[in-house]
Amino acid sequence: MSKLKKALEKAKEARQQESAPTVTVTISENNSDSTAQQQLKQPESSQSSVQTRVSPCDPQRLHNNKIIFDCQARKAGDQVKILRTRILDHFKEIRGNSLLLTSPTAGTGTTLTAINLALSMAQEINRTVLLVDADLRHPSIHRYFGLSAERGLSDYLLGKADLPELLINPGFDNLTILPGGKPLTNSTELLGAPQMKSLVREMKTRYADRYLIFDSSPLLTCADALVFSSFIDSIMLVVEMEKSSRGEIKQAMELLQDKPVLGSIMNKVIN
Amino acid sequence: MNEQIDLQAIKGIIRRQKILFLVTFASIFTLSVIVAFVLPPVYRSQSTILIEEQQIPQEFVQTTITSYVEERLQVITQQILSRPRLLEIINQFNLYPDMRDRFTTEEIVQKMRDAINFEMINTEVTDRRTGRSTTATIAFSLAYEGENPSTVQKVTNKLTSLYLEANLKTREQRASNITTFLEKELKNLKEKIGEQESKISQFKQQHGQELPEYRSVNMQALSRLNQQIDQAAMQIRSQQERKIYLEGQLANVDPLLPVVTDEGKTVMNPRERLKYLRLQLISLQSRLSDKHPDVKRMIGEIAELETKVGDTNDSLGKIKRLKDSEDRLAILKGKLGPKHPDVIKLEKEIKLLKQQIEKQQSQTAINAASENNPENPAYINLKTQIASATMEINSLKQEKKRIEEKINHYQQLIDNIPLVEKEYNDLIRDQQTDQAKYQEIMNKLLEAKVSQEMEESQQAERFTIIDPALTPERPAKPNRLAIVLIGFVLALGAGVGLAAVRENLNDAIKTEEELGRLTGLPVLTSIPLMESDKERRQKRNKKLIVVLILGLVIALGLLLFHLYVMPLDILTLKLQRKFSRL
Repeated sequence: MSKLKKALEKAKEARQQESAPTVTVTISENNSDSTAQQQLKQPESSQSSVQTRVSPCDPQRLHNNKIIFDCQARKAGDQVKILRTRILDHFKEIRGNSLLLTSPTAGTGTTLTAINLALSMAQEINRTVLLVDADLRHPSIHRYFGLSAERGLSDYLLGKADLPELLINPGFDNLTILPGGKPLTNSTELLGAPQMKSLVREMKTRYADRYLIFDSSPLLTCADALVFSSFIDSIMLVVEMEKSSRGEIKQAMELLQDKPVLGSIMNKVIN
Repeated sequence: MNEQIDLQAIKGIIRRQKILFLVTFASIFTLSVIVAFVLPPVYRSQSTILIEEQQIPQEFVQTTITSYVEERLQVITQQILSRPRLLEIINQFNLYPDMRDRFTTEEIVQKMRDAINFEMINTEVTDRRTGRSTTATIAFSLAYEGENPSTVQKVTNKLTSLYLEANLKTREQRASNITTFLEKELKNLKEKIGEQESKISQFKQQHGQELPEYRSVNMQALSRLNQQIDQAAMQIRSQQERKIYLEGQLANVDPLLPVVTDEGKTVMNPRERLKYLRLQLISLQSRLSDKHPDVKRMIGEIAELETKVGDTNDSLGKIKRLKDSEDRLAILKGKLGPKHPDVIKLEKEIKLLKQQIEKQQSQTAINAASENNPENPAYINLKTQIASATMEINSLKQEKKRIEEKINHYQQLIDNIPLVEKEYNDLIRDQQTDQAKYQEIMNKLLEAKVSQEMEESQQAERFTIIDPALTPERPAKPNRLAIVLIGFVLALGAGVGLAAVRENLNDAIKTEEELGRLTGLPVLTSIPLMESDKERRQKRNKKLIVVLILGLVIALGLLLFHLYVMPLDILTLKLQRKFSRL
């Protein structure tokens, strides 16, 4: 925990441009170890990270938003780790690196799962993760991190901005975020456009050791996820326990027929 | 593993449905408890009435009331539960005072009817005649339920007495009805029989001896008459024989005394002499002429004799001679020819004979007179005897004729008997039938009268109270404990049922296995629900608010109850009392 905070602190110092949120956490320096150092140093050394805007987040906020970046939520963290391992195995198997998370309906926790999965993956050594908010109707990833991202993927697709200036590093090593930008209503067309295809291809191929995680809108509310799922290596369905109905799941699976669906995740499990 | 999953599933169900279950259970159970304690106590008073059998054995006095006691009891029940009767009781005891303004009379009466409980007490008995076991009603119980113990007792008593009265009354009435009916019937029959009797006597008068009962008498009379007629015929025959005999005798006796000559030789009596002379004359006349002295003498003698004898009917002799002469003439004519003197002589004789026969025949009547004054006593004696025989015969013939008429008469009667018999028998049969019927009804009437007396003296089957209605000390209803228990079970059932229904209707995915089955893909992981502190706090606050509101509602409810329904301290007291009774 302390190492992370330290890293955040350092990152904050490095990037002075954004008004940093008040941090009330006391920093203990004696706890630092080599891995923390390494993690801290890596973004600076990495080429892409240099270009990327870094905006460290308030850990308390992250904690409140249930983002697992420490050992607090142990159970959930373990499960995410298992998930990560299985996905990485799968990627190795199919030589893929892109993953789309979707759900039958809204509110199943797809976004949070995507964030946590991305964070978990980023903790793997020598791996960078790009988390893309492809839910252009209700872009929300930046809100989890407490970032104000006025521009994002939608701007790129509309040709209003270049990719590098849109990327944000939320203060974690190896994790880059592509926010959604302003909410759009005609997102389906944009996501199905060739630009999107080329973007995905570019992102997939630029770095061999980079993983792409897309958070998309629910399957049964709009066609967004379906439209660009063909560009993606694997798809994962996030289902909420005791909320998602069998009918919805069945319908979603029918929509995802012939698509590379890896499996499903049971979210919000109560014991 | 499997068990664990099951446990997990059950846990999940409990977690999901506990609120629904608790709410359902609590509300129904509370309701049942309230119902159990709010229901007013109902008191029940019961009396048992024994149906006593007839005191006098059936073999001695047969009752005229043959309907089954169950049937009669039902009839009485219907009578007593009738609207006017119940209204009477309601008014008498001032029952259901609080219902009077709000409900119709019909509803109140119906409530009363429901409160009355009539029950027959049966037992297995063996039928004396058939030997089979049947159920017989030996007693019945009568109960009434109400809110006031003393009233309940009074009403039950009243109802009981009504039953007893009704039974007595119906029995007596029935018995007397039967007697009256039989008496009327008897009177009718009597009249009918009287009519028939007069008819029969009229018929008898009309037909007299034609009636079948006179058959033998008639037959006897007939046979007697037949005997008589045979006798008469015999007598007639004997008399006729006697007459013939007498007539034969008479022929030998001359009515006139024979003239005895001096030589002591009886001379021919004039008649014979006459006959003789006449024949002599005819032979002389044929030979001689009428002028011949002999002929003249003979004629003179004949004339003298004729005056003496009267007419002697010698025509027979003359006819004989005539025939004889005619035969001879025919023979001579054939032999000698018509001119032969013999023939002429014969022809003359025949002519003479014919003339004389004619003459004599005209004189017979005159000649008879000479016989009326006979002088020969033997002759007269015979004559008298013949006359008496003739008279006898005549009278016998008359007698016979009379008998024959009588026989005809009786024969007629006998012939008519079968014709009359049918009608007569019909009449008699009718009369006999009615007579028998009369006898029968008479017997029945006597029996009915005895039975009626038995009913009136209450020796017949009767109702006796063996268990009079008492004032109930404890309410019979409601069984509050039972209601609470039932409410508990019901609440439990309803809660579980509702939860099960909701659980089944809930289409949401519940387990990983299910998800895997449904998607046909592996479930990569299950991430537990994460709650931030804020969310946790919010949840807790929500619970707290719910509890607070619930408490407030209960408090308000109690307050309202206290203010508007009943002060709570009184309620407590009441509840305590009820509990102590429980």
